[in-house]
Amino acid sequence: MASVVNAPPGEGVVAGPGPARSGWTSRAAHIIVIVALLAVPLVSTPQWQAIAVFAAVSAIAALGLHVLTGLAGQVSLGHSAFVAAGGYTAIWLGADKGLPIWVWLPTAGLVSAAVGLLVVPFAARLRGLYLAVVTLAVLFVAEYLWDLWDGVTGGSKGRAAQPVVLFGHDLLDDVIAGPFMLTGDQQFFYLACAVLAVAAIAARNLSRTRTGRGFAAIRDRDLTAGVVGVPVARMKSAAFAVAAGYAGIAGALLVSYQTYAIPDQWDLMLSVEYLAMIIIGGVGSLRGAIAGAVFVTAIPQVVTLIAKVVPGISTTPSAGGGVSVDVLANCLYGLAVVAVLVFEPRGVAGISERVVAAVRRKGRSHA
Amino acid sequence: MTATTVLELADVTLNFSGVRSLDGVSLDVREGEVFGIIGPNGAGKSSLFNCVSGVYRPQQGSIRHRCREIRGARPDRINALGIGRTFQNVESFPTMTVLDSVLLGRISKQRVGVLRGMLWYGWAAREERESRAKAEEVLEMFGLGALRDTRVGELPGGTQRQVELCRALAAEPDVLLLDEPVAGMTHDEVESMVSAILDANERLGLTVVLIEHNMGVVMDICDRIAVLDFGRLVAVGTPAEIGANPDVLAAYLGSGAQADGA
Repeated sequence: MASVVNAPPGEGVVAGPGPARSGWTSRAAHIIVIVALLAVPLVSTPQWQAIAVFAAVSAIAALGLHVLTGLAGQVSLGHSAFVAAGGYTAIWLGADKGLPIWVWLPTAGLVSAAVGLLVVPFAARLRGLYLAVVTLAVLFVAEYLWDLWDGVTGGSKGRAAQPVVLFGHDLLDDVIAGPFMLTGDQQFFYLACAVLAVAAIAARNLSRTRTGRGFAAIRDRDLTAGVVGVPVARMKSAAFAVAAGYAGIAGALLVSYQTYAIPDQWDLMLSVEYLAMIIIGGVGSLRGAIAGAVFVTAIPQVVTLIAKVVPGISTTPSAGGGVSVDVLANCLYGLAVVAVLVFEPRGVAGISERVVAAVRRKGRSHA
Repeated sequence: MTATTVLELADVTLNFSGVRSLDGVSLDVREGEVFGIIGPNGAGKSSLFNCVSGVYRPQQGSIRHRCREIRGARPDRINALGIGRTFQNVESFPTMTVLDSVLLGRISKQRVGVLRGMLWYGWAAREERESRAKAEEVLEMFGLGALRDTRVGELPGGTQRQVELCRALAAEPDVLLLDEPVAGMTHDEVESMVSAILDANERLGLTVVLIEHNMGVVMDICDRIAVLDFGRLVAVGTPAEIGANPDVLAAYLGSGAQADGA
């Protein structure tokens, strides 16, 4: 009995679906890829630095939806409402009360998770399309609330958000040390990546424990799940709370980076974007959720670059004639969602797995 | 016959919008026995299991597990009390690995919640290791250890049934409800399943209730058998008594009075 648990903790004992056990070389490859990605903002233009920050922050929210939809199978169109709840909690604590990031960041997650639990009495009874409609209703109620509650949200005009101050240094101020310079965007990017890393590891751990298996059970067969011993309603509550908590933390970082928040930004479109992220990345894949966040965030900028070469795309909102960048970007990621659903339901994660497998085969046949 | 009663059904009645699926069924299952339930299709056998495991809530009657009323309790609570079950149409989780499926079955024994699970430290990691050891132990009983990382959906039906039984056993139940455990199995698979059931009964001391159409198996391994027909209990007795009971033959073959329309 003891012989099977001799593997070191966190290694062989970790049960979980996924690609074949990664060897030493593929682990090294992972590290190289991650370091390369982290280095990108150091050498890129300010526009791309900003996109990198938005992508990292969106990825945190997308991970929340990954837990709720990818792992537990519960669809939500209300994700942006929870992002907003976290954002306004952070503004209230950070800007109005002057509390530091150590307080407002975790509290934003906790408050948003608590708000997420409010959905549970409805969510536990409904599934599929009906659940989607309820979460849509939550979103609309929240949008209305943000407009009315101007003491916190500043009403429809919006308001300034809290800065990130670490050890007396405003993170958005550039740091210059001799010949080296770290822009505010770069610093914020690394903060967001640190939070993202913690969020990703926590999500991965969760998927490998009791709760993760319970999530998978209610996703695949929620009637059987109960008989097998899964407390179905409690698992659904947990999934909503975790998703909302992640959204809240993302919201707190988002408003801080924007330096303002307006009620209009927490709309249905934002919720749909988060859904698009996890679908494009591959539903159920943690890395896919992050890749999808990068993809969806980067598309408008990519389209702007294309617009300089291809005629018929207007880069200014008011200019007549041609398709605007926003519209084209939305069309593109809409197309990407459809393409993924039709051609590779496992999304970017599935595609990359296939590419890696193909490269390995090729390498072996050449050797 | 001084053995204690583990499962006691009294006057259990279940209606589906006017259709009576179970009609005043009363029976006792004693500690440590293998109890068979037989009857024609639609007799209410699976409905009876669904009432005991909390999927259906019967309108009348009482269901007691070791003197505790469980009628209408939530399925996961009933599972946690020690009543495990398998399904007639295998209810496996096709995308999970064999090991994960069995670990899932252990969920009622696990305590680590969301926050500790996220940290994967201390108690959470220890609980996973303990659960994994237990799951491996159950898989070894069936010689399924080599398949631990295979996805359940890729396995043949007979093996999926075995995995489902492992999943139920992982919760360390004291009563096992098996709904047609050898249906659709090859001769060899039937033999290994029967020996696994007897193992669970004799070595682990589990009380087994099984629904089965394979009369050879039922007559062979059951201590007592109950016969259901049209939701009513027709007879209860030893295999020999049941084999000689005219009412049972009537239920299966149709007596003169009932078979007129057929």
